[in-house]
Amino acid sequence: MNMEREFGEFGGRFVPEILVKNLEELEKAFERVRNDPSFKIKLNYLLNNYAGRPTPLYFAKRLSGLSGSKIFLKREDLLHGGAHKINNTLGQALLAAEMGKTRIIAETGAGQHGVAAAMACATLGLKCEVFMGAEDVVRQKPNVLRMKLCGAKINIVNSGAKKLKDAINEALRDWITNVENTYYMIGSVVGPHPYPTMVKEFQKIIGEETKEQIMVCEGRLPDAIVACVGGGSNAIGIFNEFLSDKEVRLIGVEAGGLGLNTGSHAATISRGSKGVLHGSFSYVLQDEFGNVKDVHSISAGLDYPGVGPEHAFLKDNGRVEYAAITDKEAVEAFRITSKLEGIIPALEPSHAIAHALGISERLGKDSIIIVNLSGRGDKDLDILEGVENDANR
Amino acid sequence: MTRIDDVFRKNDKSLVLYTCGGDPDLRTSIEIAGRMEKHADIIELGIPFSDPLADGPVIQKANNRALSSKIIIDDIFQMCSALKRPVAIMTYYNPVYKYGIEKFCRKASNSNVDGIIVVDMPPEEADFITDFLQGINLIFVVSRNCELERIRLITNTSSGFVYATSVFGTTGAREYLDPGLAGFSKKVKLVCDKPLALGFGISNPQQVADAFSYGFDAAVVGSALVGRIEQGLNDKYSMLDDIGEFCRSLRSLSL
Repeated sequence: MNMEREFGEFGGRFVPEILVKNLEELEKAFERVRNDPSFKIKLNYLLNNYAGRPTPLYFAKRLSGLSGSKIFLKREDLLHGGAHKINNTLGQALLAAEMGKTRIIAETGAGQHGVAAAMACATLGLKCEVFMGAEDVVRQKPNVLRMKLCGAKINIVNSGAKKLKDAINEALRDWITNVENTYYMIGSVVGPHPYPTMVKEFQKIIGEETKEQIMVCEGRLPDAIVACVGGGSNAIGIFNEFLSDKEVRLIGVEAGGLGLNTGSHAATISRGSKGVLHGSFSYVLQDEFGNVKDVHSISAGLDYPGVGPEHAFLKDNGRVEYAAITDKEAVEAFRITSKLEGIIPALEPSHAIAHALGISERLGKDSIIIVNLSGRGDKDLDILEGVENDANR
Repeated sequence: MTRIDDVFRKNDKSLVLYTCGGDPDLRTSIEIAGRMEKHADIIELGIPFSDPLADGPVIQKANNRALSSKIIIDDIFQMCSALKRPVAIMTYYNPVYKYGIEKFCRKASNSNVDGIIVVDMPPEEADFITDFLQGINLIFVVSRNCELERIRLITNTSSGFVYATSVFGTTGAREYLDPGLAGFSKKVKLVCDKPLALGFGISNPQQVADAFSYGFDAAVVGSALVGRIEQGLNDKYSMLDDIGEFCRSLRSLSL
């Protein structure tokens, strides 16, 4: 049994006993496939021919013109489904199939993981149910329709604040009830061991490609890599390959919501404290009695009061810097990127773009910044319209 | 030796009754616990928490009612001090951690708490608490999918009693208790001589009697009781009578 916390004091397996056996089985199965060449061949085939890997690293010339640096975008938004999430769901769906599980459950916030789960399950012939908070169902409607088209059943979650955190709670409760036949396909580097490690394994390809690509383009490593952090899977995915390259600044950008001093934000690392949420020890936005706070972000995918345990570890050991960008700044970056580059980013990575633009001047003219453009923004057009209407009122 | 150890030394069929502390408000909750005490051997008092992962809808709502009444951990300790029966606190890990594990145990001890159940804390993490327990029992859960080796680890770590969950699922009343539970209690008792309580899904006198006949030393009733609080929110006095009557009835088939 491997119960050590994987990331310093962070990680672990804080779950009701009934889930322990499943997590142990999952850990064993994952350890078996992660070094199994035939599993890798199957996964790579799907990543390349179904999802569309490798994704390009694009030099955003006009965005760079606006800033002081060379800004490159890692185009995870071009993947099938429209986000990096498919890297993970294909890996986990293959694993679930190998484990003989017939029913897949997943949670979703922005709907991107839900869509990616539904797609991966459809192509592998697995039954898929997605838990989604009632509030997110309303604000990310296009993704709800896409999931349904791909054959997934949507379970609308009305408990708690009706958002991502509550969707994970309900998915875990479902798993507690259906442990025998069900596989829980978690969407980020959160949850009890082995999830944070496993999701990283399936997402680290982003950074591996990025490193090769920047060496080809520029012949050197970048000065900084910027990625948004909700649970943190796209960030871990691009950071992991560069962790030992100390000269590369790694910056995680959290959702500053209405501002860090307003209380209406989702900046877990910036403003949270140590605790347990969804089975792992990490940072949590909570009150003094350990009750998890209701959080806010314009982007449903970052609207989460927890964060992956490895991010907590990387924050504490100083390897990764964490910053926050407000709703307003993210919307501004969303607009600028659309207009200057003809690329409509999701609101989540718009936070990362905003921060990259903010630091570019200080980094200087020949500096290289890579932003992980983790998803595309088609799903967010309704929200933007709402912002516009509010502004015109 | 806690009062919980005492209960199991004296009785071979014990009744454990659960309520969420502070549901729907502190005063009413103290009165509810007062009614429960007349019939329970052990009171299990939940600390209201924002994210009760192992609980079904009925107890989730109870947690929310208590949180809406601004109930905090200190209120629960105050309730514990007022109880005459042995009391076990039911909580999740995060409230204990955030409160401070040492402070939590010290206050629990000063408030006559006899046992603590931390639903989402595996025995592997127990070291963080055991140093501070000051004689309080730390009660762990075994579930039906545990292999013998794991049952051994859990029951060795557990003190006072061992809490066995009857179902695959969250808390909440069920229509039937699975007769296969007789085999489950036998399996646990192969490696453990500590008292064994059965919880989750037990909601009526027949099921209480069944739990004893399946070889368990105690039966825990929670959601069925908490559901009566929800139903009686508009009429506190009939609710209290209803709860008293329900608690009294629970033993009627197993005396």
